[in-house]
Amino acid sequence: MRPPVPTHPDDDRLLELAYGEIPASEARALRQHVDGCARCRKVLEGIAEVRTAFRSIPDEPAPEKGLESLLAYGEQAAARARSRRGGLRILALLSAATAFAVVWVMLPGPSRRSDALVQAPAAKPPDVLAQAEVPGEAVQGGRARDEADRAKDTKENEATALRRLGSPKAEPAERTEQFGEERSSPARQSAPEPLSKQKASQKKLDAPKEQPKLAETPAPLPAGREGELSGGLGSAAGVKSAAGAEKKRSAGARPEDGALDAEAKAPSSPPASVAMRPPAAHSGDDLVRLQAAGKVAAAPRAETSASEDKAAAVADAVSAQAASPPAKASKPVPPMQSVRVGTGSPEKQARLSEIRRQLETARGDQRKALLLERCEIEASLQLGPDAVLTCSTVSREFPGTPEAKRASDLARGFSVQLPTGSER
Amino acid sequence: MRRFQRGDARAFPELVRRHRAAVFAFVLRWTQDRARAEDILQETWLKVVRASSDWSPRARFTTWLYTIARNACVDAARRERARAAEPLEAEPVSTESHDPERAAAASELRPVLEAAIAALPDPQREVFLLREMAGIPFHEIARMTGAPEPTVKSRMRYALEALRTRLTAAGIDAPAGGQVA
Repeated sequence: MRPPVPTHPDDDRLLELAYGEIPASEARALRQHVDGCARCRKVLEGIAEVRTAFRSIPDEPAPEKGLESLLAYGEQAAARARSRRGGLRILALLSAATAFAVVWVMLPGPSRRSDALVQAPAAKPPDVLAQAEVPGEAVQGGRARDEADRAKDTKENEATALRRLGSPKAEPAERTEQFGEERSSPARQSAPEPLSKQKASQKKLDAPKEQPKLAETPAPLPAGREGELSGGLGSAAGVKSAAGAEKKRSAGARPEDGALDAEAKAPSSPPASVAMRPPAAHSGDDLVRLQAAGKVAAAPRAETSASEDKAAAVADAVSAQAASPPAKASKPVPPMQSVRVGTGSPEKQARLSEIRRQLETARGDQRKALLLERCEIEASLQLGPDAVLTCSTVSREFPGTPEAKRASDLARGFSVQLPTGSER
Repeated sequence: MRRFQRGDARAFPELVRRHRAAVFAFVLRWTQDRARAEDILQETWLKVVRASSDWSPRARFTTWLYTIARNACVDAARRERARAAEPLEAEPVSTESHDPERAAAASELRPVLEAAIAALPDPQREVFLLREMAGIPFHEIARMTGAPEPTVKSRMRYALEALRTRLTAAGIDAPAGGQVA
């Protein structure tokens, strides 16, 4: 006989006990109480009685009516869910692919890496800047910001390059200023003092690791074009991936002439040019650098004349931002005529716009010449797809002509260098 | 349910097979009208299909299912409020029972119990059916109905007392089988 428990549990607790909603330990204690408490036992028995009676009645069978249509509806819903999941999976894959593509585009590509490699030793560019004409403040500032952003992107690669080349790290801001000025100063080629320093840095570039690759680049400049900074096909190839990215980014803004043309038309009004191109688009500086990088890759060091040396030295300095993977630069590249419009990309772009306009009405030999020139300029500006398209137009419209052969060489040069992008 | 959400066509018939009869019994006892109960049953399962993507494994499927059924019953009751609801006629016990003794006892018990349930106030009947038929714990019933949990328990106790009183008055003792946990 258990001793009586003085206090009765709450009726709610008894209810919970009856329905098994009390923790086991507490339930045991309550059971002990109930066993020795007639009142509480009676409450529990009353609950159990009703429950037992209720459960003794079998449930009504559910009607068959509507069951078939319900199951069919459920089957359709399951099929929809499957397709939705499939769609989501595809969407997820697409999203992942898009994200990957964005990252791929945003990350410094091989061209930038090589750019960093070439750039690293060139701690002298600030001197080049000192010789260059200073463009408008606004232009320079805008480009400086572009360069600063780019410098961030390439910071890591720069560090790698510096480690490899053992040279002091160039200050991004300085590079920024340098390229901004270079872009707007065609006269920089004649800058004597920077040239010597650039040659000094060129020696750095010619260090064991890098020099052979640069020295291997063929494509001698045609005689009489010493003063021209020609973006060789080698350069076009060397920075093809960067140019492709440039093209992609600016595609929406330049169905024909695009933001680059707009910028070429108004080089000193950065707000306009900025407004006309996508935020991620490269500035004209990129094109200059790419062009100059092409020069680095394509211009032979040994065979160039003095003025070519100047140009090459300037290009080397500029190449701090340019992309010319050494491995690519070592590939033989068909020679390319220098662009007839001078060294500055604004000029080239302006000329390109002019050619595009003229091509709308030009016929015969005039059209042939214009197409070839456009092909060459686009190649020099690393507008790979455009260049290939234009060059193939020359070959198609004027088959068997020297211009067609020249255009084929240019187009082939791009396709030869296509693996560049795949190295990423 | 998770399989059904993933698009497994065999999952839904399985769900229906497992729960449809119980849901129908629940709805029938709630509405006390067979035709209405059939409509509500179909409506409930259609809602299950339509809202299947909303179901989260965090909630028990039965709780979710009976919440839908309960809401459908409440909506139907609101729609029918204007009408004078005919009390559910005592229906013959299913002859499918294989236990003659139990069938006999049920045939005697059913009308009394059904009448007793029908006589319960709606809040008490609601709690009783949700707890007794759907097996939903009191705290979840409280959440479903929006009533405080002590209130839910009080309603349940009153419902049990009322039913017991009706059974006793009808001279029906609880069938042997005793304890119900």
